[in-house]
Amino acid sequence: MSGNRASIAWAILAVAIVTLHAQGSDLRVIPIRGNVYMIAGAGGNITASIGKDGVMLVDSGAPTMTDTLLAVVRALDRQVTASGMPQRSCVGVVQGCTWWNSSNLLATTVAPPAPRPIAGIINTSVDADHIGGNEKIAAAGRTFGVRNLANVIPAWIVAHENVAARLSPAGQPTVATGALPDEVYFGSEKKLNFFNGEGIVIMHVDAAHTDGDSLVYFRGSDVIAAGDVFNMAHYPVIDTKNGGSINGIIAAANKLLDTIVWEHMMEGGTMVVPGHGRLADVADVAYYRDMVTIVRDRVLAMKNKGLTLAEITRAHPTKDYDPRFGRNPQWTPDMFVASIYQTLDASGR
Amino acid sequence: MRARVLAAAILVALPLAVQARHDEQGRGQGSGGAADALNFRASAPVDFTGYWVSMITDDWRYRMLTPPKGNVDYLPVTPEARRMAEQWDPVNDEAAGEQCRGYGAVGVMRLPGRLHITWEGDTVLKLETDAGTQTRRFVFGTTEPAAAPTWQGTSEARWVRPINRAAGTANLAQGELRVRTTNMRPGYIRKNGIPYSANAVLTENYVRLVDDDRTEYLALTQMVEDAIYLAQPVIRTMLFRKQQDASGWNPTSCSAR
Repeated sequence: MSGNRASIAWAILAVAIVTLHAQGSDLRVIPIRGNVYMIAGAGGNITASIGKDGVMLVDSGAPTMTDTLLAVVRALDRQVTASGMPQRSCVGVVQGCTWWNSSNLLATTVAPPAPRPIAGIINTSVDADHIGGNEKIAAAGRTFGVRNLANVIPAWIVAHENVAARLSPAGQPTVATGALPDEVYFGSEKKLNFFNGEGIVIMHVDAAHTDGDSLVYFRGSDVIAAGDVFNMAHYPVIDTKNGGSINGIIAAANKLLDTIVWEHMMEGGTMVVPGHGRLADVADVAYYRDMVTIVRDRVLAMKNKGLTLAEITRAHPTKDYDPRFGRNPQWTPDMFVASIYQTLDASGR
Repeated sequence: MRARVLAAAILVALPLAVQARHDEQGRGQGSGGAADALNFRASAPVDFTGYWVSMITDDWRYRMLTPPKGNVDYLPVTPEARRMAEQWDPVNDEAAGEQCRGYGAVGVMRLPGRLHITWEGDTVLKLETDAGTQTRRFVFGTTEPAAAPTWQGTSEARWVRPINRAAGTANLAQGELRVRTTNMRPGYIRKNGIPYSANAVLTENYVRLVDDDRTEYLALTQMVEDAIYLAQPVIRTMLFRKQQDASGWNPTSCSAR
């Protein structure tokens, strides 16, 4: 019976999601698994966790798309919470579960009828198309703090400390104060409290796309929001001005592969939301890792032979991958090669 | 691991919530009695001396930068405090020579920077900050005669040691530092003019934590009580990491901005 209800709920949700797209929002909403959704078209890809604890977004899109994104998130929030889709069971210490009542112990909980507020934003990098909506979306949300319930606190923003530092060089913010992270982390990872029934781990990868990149791992839904260290639309952007490097990109891809568990024959299993482009799985990540490693090695070999950047570019070391990754006029194969050249020393480090 | 350190830091906030009871126990059995009174330095269960650097992870944008005027996020301020915060003008503070309002005992420990902790004799633990070049003096055993209020106020300090309930004695080898500060000049909880009054009472717990890799951390939990400007006590935790030397020590003057 509960299975039928779940199927009906999913069907309603799927129709609603198509409706979201049909309304001309220009955004695509893709249910991935559990409470986790991918929203594409608002700049960088956005990952949303929506459920009984509220809405948590990984990245906030480009500034020009904020209003549209906010409308879509709110509509999705309403539809998810009104659909009565089954949530996780009450096993464990889960808020809202009457765990002492045996009749409820293993029953599914029903999502609250009213949409829950946006509780937080995690930024995967400092890029404008990933943090552009921070201020407006955070202001539209709410943090339920324990320190001052009388104040309405905007949704929290978490990022690696290098993101915050890059956004306020020498103490002078380059963005509105409300767009800055209010919580940062250092070191290799930060674990958040359970949210919508699952643990969320933010993992830092050093000097990849930038020096402040984070992978966000939804452990229950088994989804990783990878940000711009992983790109399905074009070659990875290595932002050398903000501390990026080709070896960091490769290390990040390897970190993804270490974390991913595939379902069958290198397919399915952990799903990965790239910074740009379509939803991916382990095979996509492995192919991408191999691509960046091969191109890196080609550039390194030529550099070690004494070729200049101009000569290497003319040799076209990305030629066989260009039909797949080289079609973005904003980040051309030559720009990719130049960024690799800049960030490699003779030893390949 | 760092998560464990932070979790431990949060845990040290708990004693503040049951402070009164804990204080009674400390006075009765845990403080060390007459031996402590003779030499608080020699009987210290923890060595806090050295250089420490602040680790700013929470409230980053409220600590690394001066928040905009009127922003009172996360602080349970009274309407009067809110009104005062709306009137904050750093130019006026500078003109009045009050640019250190954000560097009083309540505010300075939350600012980014470094601490230098040393003993001044056997009864005073001196804590200097490079932010604003401030000096706090934690006095053990005796209460110094009341003087005119200062930014750092008057601080009474004592060691708090865990009780060995089976033996009914204090564990002299472990403990933490408890400091109660009063007699402060009115200052700012945050640099953007959120006030605390001359009646504010600051209670602090200093705990030393050691990581698996032997890195030392100082977890400081503050409780600020101020009936005039706070609707309820503010409790917050700060973390510092031990440095091997004075590298990075950069005394600066107070800035009202």
